[in-house]
Amino acid sequence: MPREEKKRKRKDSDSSEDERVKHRRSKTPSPSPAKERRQAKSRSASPAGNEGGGGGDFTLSIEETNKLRAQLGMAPLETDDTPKIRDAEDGNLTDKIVNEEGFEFRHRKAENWGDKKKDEGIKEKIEVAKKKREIYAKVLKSKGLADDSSDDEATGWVSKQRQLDEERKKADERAKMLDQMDEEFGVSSVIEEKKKQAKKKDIKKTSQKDKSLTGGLIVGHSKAEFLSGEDQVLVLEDKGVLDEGDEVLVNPNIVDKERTNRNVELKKRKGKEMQEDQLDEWGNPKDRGLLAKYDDELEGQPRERFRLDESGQVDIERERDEAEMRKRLMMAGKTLVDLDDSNKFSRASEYYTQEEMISFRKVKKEKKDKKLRKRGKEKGILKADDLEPIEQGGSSDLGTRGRRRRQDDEEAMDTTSKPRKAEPQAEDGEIEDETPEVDGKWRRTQQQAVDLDALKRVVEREMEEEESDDDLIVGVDLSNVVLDYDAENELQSVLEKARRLKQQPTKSNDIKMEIKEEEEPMEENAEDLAADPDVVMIDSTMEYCRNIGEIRTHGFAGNREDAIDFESEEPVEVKPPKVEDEEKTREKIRRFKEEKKRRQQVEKEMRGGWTEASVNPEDQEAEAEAGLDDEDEEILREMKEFKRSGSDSEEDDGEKEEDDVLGGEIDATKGIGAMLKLAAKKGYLEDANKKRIAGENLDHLKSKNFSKVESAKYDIEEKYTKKLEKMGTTGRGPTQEFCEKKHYKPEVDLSYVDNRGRELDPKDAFRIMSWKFHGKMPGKKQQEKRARQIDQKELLKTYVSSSDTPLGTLSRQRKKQEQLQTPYLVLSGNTSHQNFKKD
Amino acid sequence: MIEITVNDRLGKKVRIKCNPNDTIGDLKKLIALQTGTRWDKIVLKKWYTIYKDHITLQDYEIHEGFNFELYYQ
Repeated sequence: MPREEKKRKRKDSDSSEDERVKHRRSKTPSPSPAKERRQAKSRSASPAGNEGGGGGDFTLSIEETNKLRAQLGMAPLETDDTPKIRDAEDGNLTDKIVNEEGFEFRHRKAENWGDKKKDEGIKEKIEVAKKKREIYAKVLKSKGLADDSSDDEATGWVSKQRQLDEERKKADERAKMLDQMDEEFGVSSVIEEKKKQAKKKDIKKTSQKDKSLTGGLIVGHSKAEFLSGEDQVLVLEDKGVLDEGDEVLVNPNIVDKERTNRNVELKKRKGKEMQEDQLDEWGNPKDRGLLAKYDDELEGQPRERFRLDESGQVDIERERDEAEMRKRLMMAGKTLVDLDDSNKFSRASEYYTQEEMISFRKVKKEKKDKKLRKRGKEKGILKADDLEPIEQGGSSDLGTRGRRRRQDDEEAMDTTSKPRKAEPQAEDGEIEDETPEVDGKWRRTQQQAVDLDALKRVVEREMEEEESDDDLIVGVDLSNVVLDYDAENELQSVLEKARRLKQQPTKSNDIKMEIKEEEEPMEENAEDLAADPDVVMIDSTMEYCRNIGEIRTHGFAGNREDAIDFESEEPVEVKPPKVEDEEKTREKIRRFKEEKKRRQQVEKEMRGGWTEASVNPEDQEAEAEAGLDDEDEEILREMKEFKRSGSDSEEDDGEKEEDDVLGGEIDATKGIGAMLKLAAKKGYLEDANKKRIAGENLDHLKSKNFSKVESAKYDIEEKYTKKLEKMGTTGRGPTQEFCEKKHYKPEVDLSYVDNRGRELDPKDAFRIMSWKFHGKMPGKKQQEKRARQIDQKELLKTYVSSSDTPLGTLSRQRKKQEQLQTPYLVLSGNTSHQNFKKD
Repeated sequence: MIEITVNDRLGKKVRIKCNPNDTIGDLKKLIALQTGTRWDKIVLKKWYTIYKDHITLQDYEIHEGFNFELYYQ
C-alpha cells in the first residue's frame, strides 16, 4: 500500500559491503541524495564492470536485461526521465515532489521549532517597543505642571467671565424690553404683585416649608427614635385609597427595624417565655400586664405615634430629658465594663517586665541593732527608709521653694526663706549645692549632709571669726537629728565586744567560785557514797571511759582487772586522812581549794588564747586533758586533787592513771615470756592461728580518699552513731572473738529436699534454687522430661536383679548364713532351735 | 525500475533489474535466465514467506535493494 512517507532507513539484511559494491557497479540514473553520499564515500573503490565481477555478484546492464525481457516477451525496463526531486509548482512552493518508483510524494520541510520560538520572541519585543513608543508619545504630549501656562487658563477664565457678563447684560436688556412692552400693555402692576407674592412665598417656603406642609400630621414612630438629632427622611405611609384618616409619616428604615424586632420576639415567644424578654435594657423587669400574650391579637400591634403641631414641629426635649434622667438613675450604682478586653488582658510577654522584676526583690530585714535603734528612736534618726522617694518624671518640680518648705516641715526643721534661697546661689562659694540640679532620690540626705558640712564650717568660722548669725545657714535646728553613721556603729560594736571579752575572766571567775562553793558540800557527799562498795556510781567520767571501750560494765564485773577503779581507790585513800587528823584534812582541803584556783587560772589562760607547750609535768597533764570535755576536765582534776591530797607521790599516780586507761604494760625485764607477751600485745608478733583473708583482697582497689557523704539522720540511734563517729569510736569497743568458743568448728551440712521428698544433690539443688530466684521454670515439656528421667533413675535404683528375687532373698540368705556360720537356715518363725547340728 | 538481489547462499548471487509492476513469475524467469535453472524450479522466499508468482512486486512492496532467498523446489 502506498504510504505518504517512505522510510528509506529500512534496509534489507544485506551487508553494507553489498551495498557499496552495488553502488559501485550500478549506474542508477538519478540516485537519491543519501545514495549519492554513499556513492561519494565509496568512490575510492575501483569501478568494476556491471556483469559478473569479483565477489560472485551477478548483474546485467539495462540493455542486456531489456534484451532478455524481449526474449521472454516482457516489456522493457522503465526508466525515470523525470528528476527524482523537484520543486512543487503549485501550492506551497517550498514543497518538494519526490518521485520514487512511480509514485509522487509531496515533501514539505518540517517546521523548525527553534526558529519559530525565536520569531515569536522577536515579535514580542517588537510589540513591546511599539507600545512603549505609544505610551511615551501620549505622555510627552500631555502638559507637565511646570509647563502649565497659567496665562492660558487665566485668559480662558477671563474670557468666560466676559461671556457671562455679556449674557447677563443681554438678559437685562431683554428684561427691560419686556417690561417696556408690559408697560405698554398695562399689565405691569399685575406682574409686580405677582412677583411680590412669589417672593413672599419663596421666603415662606425656605423658612416654613415644613410647617405649612406637615402641620398636623402624625409620625408613625415613637419620639425616642428621633432623639439622636440627625436628619431623617420621612415618607407617607402606604394607605388604601378609600381609607379615611390622617396621613402618617414614616421612616422606612425604622419600619423595617421594628418589623424585624417583632419577628424576633415572635420567634422567641414560640418557645417558652424567656427570661431576657422580661428585662428592660437597664436590667429592670418589663411590666407586661395581665394576659400579655393576647395583647397583640386584641389590640393589634402596638404602634407608637405622635402628632406634629401646626408648624410641623414637635417638642422632644422633654423626652430627651426623661431619657437622660432614666439613664442617670440606672447607671447610678453600676459601672460600665468595656467588653473590649484589650486593656485587661494583654498578651504576656516572654520576658519579665520591669514591674515583675521589682516584685521579685526581697524586702530586706532591718538590722537588729537594738541599741542603736533605741538611740535613734529617742533622738529621731533619719534613715533612708524613712524618706519618701522623690517622684520621678518631668512632673516634679525640683527647684521650687514651696516643695522644699514642705519637706522641711516634715522633718521638723525651722526654715527661713532667705537662707534657703541663698543656699543654691552663694554660700561663700564654699559649698556646692547639688540639690536642685541633681535629680537624685535621696535629696534630703544630701541636703542634710550639706547642712552638716555647712554647720561644721560655720562652727569653725564662728570659732575663728565670731561672725553674726546672718551668714550662718543654721536656721536649721539640728538638735533633733542624729546622723546614723555606719562606721561609727561598727566601731562601737567592736569596742563592746572587746570589753566583754575583758570582763569575761572576771565573770567566769565569779561563776566558778560559786560552783566551787556549791560543789564542796556535794563532794563530801560523794565521798561518803563512794566509800560504800555496794553502791554503783554513775559518773560522767566513768561513762566517758566506758565509751572509750575499756570498762564495759558497771561495777566490778567484766574485764576490770586492768582498769583502775577510781571508786575503789578513793575510799581507800580518802579514809586514812579522815581517820588521821581533822586538821590535816582541813589543810588539805584548803590546799585543794588553792590548787583548784590555780588550776582554773591555768585553764583560763589556756582558753583565752593559744595553748603554750609547757615543760612542767603538771601543765603537761593539764594539756593532755585539754582534749577532754570541759566538765570532765573539772571533775578529773578534782579527783586528782583528792588523790594528791591523799597520796604522797603525785607523779606515780598520774602515770598509773594514764597507763591503766590503755592497759597495764607488762614488765618485760622479768623473762622471755613477759617479753613475748609484751611484744604480742604491742602487735609485733603475728599470730599463726590468725585468720587470713581468703580469696581476693580488693583493698588496693578501694578508694583511699573516700569521704562519706553526709546524709540526714532522723533516727536518734543514727544521730548517736554519728556523734560517736565524730569522736572516733564506734561505741562498741574492740571486737574480740568468743574466747570460750575458740575451738568451735561447726560442721555445715546443708541438705536440700525436692518437692517430692527426694534428697537433692547440690547440682540439682542449685538448679531448683536458681529457678526460684529468677522466677522462671523450664517449660512443661522440659519438666516432664525431667520427671521421666528421675523416674528412670529411680527405677534403675530399684533394679531387679536377674539372678535374684526382687526382694533379694538369696543375698539375704547368704548373709544370714555367714552370720550364723551355718550352711543352712531355719525358715520357721520360732528361732529357738536355731542351731541344728547333726549330732 | 528497481534492482533487487537474489541470493542462493550456495554461491549464486544475482542482481536483477526489473519494473515494480512485474510479477514474481516474470522475475523468476529473469532469474532463471541469469542463473541457469528452470524458472518453475525456483522458489523465492523471505524466511518462510514464499512469494507467489502472480503478484506484482509493487503489491509485495518490494523496493529497491530487496533481497530474496533463492531456493529450489
